[in-house]
Amino acid sequence: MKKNTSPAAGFIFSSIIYAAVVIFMAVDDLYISLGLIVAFAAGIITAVKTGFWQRALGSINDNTGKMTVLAGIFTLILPLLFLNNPYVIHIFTLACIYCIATLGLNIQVGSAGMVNFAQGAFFGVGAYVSALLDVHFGFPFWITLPAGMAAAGIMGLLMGLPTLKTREYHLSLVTIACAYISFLLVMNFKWTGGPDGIPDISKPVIFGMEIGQKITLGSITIPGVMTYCYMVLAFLALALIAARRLQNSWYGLAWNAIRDDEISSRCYGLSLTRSKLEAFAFGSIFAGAAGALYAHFIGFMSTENMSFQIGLLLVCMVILGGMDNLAGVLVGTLLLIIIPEKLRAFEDYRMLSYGLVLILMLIFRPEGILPSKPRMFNLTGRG
Amino acid sequence: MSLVFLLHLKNSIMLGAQYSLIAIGFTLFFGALNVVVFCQGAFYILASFIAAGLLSLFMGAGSFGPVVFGCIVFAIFFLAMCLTGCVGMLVERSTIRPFRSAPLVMPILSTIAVGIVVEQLLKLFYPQGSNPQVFPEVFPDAGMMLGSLYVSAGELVILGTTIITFTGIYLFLSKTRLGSHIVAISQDFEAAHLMGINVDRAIYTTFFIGASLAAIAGFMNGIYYTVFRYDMGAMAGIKGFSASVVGGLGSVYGAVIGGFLMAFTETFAAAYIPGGSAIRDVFSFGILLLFLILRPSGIIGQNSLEKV
Amino acid sequence: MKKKLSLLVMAGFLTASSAAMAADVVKIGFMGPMTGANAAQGMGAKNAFDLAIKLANKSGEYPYTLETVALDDASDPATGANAATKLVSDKEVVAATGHWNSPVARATIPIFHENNTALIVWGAIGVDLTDKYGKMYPEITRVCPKLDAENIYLADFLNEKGYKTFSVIHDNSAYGVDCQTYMDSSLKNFGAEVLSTDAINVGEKDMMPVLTKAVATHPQAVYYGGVVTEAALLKLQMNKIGLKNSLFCGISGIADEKFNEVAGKSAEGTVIVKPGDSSKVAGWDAFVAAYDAENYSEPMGAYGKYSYDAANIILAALKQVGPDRAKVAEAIRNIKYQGLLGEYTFDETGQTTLLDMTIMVSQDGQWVNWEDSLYKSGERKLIGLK
Repeated sequence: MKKNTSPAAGFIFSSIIYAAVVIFMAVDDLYISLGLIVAFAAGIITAVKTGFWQRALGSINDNTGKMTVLAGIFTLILPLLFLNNPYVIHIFTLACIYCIATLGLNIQVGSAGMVNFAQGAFFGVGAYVSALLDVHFGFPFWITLPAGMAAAGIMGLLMGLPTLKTREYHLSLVTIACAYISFLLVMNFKWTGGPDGIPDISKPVIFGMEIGQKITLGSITIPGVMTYCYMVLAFLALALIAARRLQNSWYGLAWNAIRDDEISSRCYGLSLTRSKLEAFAFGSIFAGAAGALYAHFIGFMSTENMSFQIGLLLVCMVILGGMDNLAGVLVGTLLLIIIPEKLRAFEDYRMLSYGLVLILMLIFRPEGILPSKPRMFNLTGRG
Repeated sequence: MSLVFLLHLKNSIMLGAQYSLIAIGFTLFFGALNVVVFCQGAFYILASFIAAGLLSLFMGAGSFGPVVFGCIVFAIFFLAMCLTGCVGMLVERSTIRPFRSAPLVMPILSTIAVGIVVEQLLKLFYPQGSNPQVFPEVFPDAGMMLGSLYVSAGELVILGTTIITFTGIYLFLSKTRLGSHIVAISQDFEAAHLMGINVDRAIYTTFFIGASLAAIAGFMNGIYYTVFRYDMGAMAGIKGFSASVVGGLGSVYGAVIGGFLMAFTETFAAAYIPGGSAIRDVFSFGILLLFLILRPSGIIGQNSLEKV
Repeated sequence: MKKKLSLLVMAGFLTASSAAMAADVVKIGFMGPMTGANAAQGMGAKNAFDLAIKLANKSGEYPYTLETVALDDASDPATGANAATKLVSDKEVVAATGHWNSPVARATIPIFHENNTALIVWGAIGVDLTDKYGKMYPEITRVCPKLDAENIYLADFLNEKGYKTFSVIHDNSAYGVDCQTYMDSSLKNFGAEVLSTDAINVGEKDMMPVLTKAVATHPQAVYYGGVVTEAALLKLQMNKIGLKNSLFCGISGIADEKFNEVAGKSAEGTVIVKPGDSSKVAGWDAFVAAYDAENYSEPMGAYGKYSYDAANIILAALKQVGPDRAKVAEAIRNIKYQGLLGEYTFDETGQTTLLDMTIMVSQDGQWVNWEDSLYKSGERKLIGLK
């Protein structure tokens, strides 16, 4: 396909967005934050009105390679900008961890069209398995993380079972039921720490260096959260690559086919059973990884972090950002983690605004902030 | 039978009546539109708030003779029920109709969102909404002995209402013109449309009835358990939906059977399994999962999977 | 480009650190639930804390301006961890006080420990909070009594009055489970019998199954470990199901006027234990007057006095050693401070040695100190006694 736009528009656009995000994260005052949000919204509306928005998005779409590199550089610099404010890095790391979970959820909600409210539970399973192996048996992070991922994946498969013979509306119900069941069981078992949760989860160690430990270089102290942030970013990059490859593979194609029409996909010989189970398993593995990263990041895990509300929040993130669009999912997650943290004073209105935003998005822009692109097939092969 | 067993039995019948009423609503919506309306729990709790608010206003207004008092109480319940029914129609118009031809996922999400919004509005804007609310005691502190079991006036009212409502729904669907329209729509939406049935009116009616049934369940909750809070609706709604699935989605009888089955499972598991009271929801959801694995069509109901 | 940026960053960092040296402003952190279900507790404590800081600024005894940084933990461990990170990230914050919910405190304690910053817990009463797995945190102290102390006090009181048979019901939160554990052991210590033990879910409305189990055993008293909503539901449903002749009792989780309001007439005769009845302490009236003078929109609640004392302990330590995190933390641990409720010292786990408890009884729709009640004077009789 011929490249028809120069990368300039996309470059300027992303730089402006990046600058806005950095300023927003640096600001602490509530009213300035509110003002920034309003200014930002106004800016976007102007951009859409003047056509810059469309041009910039087109430019980004046409120069995916360059833009990915740019986004990568931007992301890598971000923690350095906040060297003396670990709090911002902390929030950013948290957002990146949730991004991994929503990338997994996107496989189910976005690609395969199955609304899964139990992603919070899988997040919890990954976190608990990893934390318990660490606290009770002293296994290193590099063993507990895959164990957490595997456990979440197996849970995902198990949850898929009751939904095989049923349809969408049953599926949502099953995921809700599973979210409550796993929450209640973890809460009431003694060996999971029950309602007390699990404190003192250790930090990962690479080459004898503990990630998340302060490093002092002469007069500069690099906060511990910085190293953890870069580790999470590495995982996020891996998750993005995995999600991208899944999306472009036969798996992704099959999921899209099921989402669009179950009956005709079966006519073409797709196994609904297999595809659905695969979507559940892959999606939950992402959530498990995110959970494990979370548990070792905070050092404490309790049932509050695996409740039904978390699952609901994750679904909101995917829908807000854009179903089946990886960049959209990341945007949605970052927005729903960072904005509520800045507007903590309005915490009581948070659930209400989630509900309203969800309704408005579904009615007026169901494809999300960044809609997914239609699949393009090139009959002449690559290039 | 021991007294304790009888008490457990009474508890599960009281709970089962609520679940069944909510489940009938789910079944009606599903039959009419092939959608799942996840905000039944919101109707349930909204009705409790409206009724409790009106009742306490009225009871603060002065004292009345028993007959006048009874009539006004009944009128208030009826008014609260109708208001909730109207909210049901409003929800249909605003957040379900736009998705009539959209993927099934959309109305599921939008009704969940409506549930959240209603719950949060009650919490934030009802006076003292985030605190537990008391349901005024409107029934006399009297009752009768059934053998060794004491049944209070409020409980008798709940039982009577349940029986009357079930019969009413049955008669409405089978004997009235509007009822048969609803049945026709649930069997074949397009054919019903072609036969000249006013589809929109029938769907409005369905939502009015469904939300009203949830409202009645909400009143029973208030009368029997006396205290309610803004966040108690969601779980009741999910249980009601589970009950309708266990009974067989689309069947009114199934909804009733499913509701009582769920309630019995829950109550007796909480009572007789050691440590069961803390995880009673695990048992009721367990029943649901078992049914979905072994008999996805429910107790009464056709196999819903489309054959290729 | 990149080099320039990092230079800029370093410059920014250096100015920030030199600003902290000058210390014109010294910040003290406060964390608590200011939104959500427990907001009333958190706001009252925040106001009392704020009052202490204001009074200190007025006194002119500090060569710098003191400032409160109040952050919401929303009763959620993850949010609490965010707030704690925010506090320790701010170089001007010298110490903090925080939390009403024990799981939140468990999540933030390691953060303060790693950053050598003092945290005084003002309202979380989980038992092994400051010494889980025997691990000690020299930066962490607590000014409110632990949950086991409350239960022992209540069990002692009831035993003395002659209650011998109990049904224990608790919710499945951290609080409820701990209540069950410690009430059970203290009751057994006093030779009382626990006839049944049942857990319920937080947010459950149907208490009938657990109460029906209790009916079968005819206990003299029903103990509930949990908070207001479920307690009111239990008390109301107890009266419906035929447990009218059993006493209803609990600890400070129920010590809220909301319980009386919701349970109405049924609340009569409920016995609870509450940390501290400070009205008899010297300086109490002055404190209340000062609080009222500030016209806060929320009442100070049961824990206001603890956060007030916690603020003053931090201030006293500041006066001793100046605005340095590590030194303040050390000074707090070794302090002897005469607060509202008495003289504070901390044991090796960081727990205050100060203990004061009051029995309250619900009388005509409000909590009344046992000593002043009609039940003590014999005009009314406690339920369930033969």
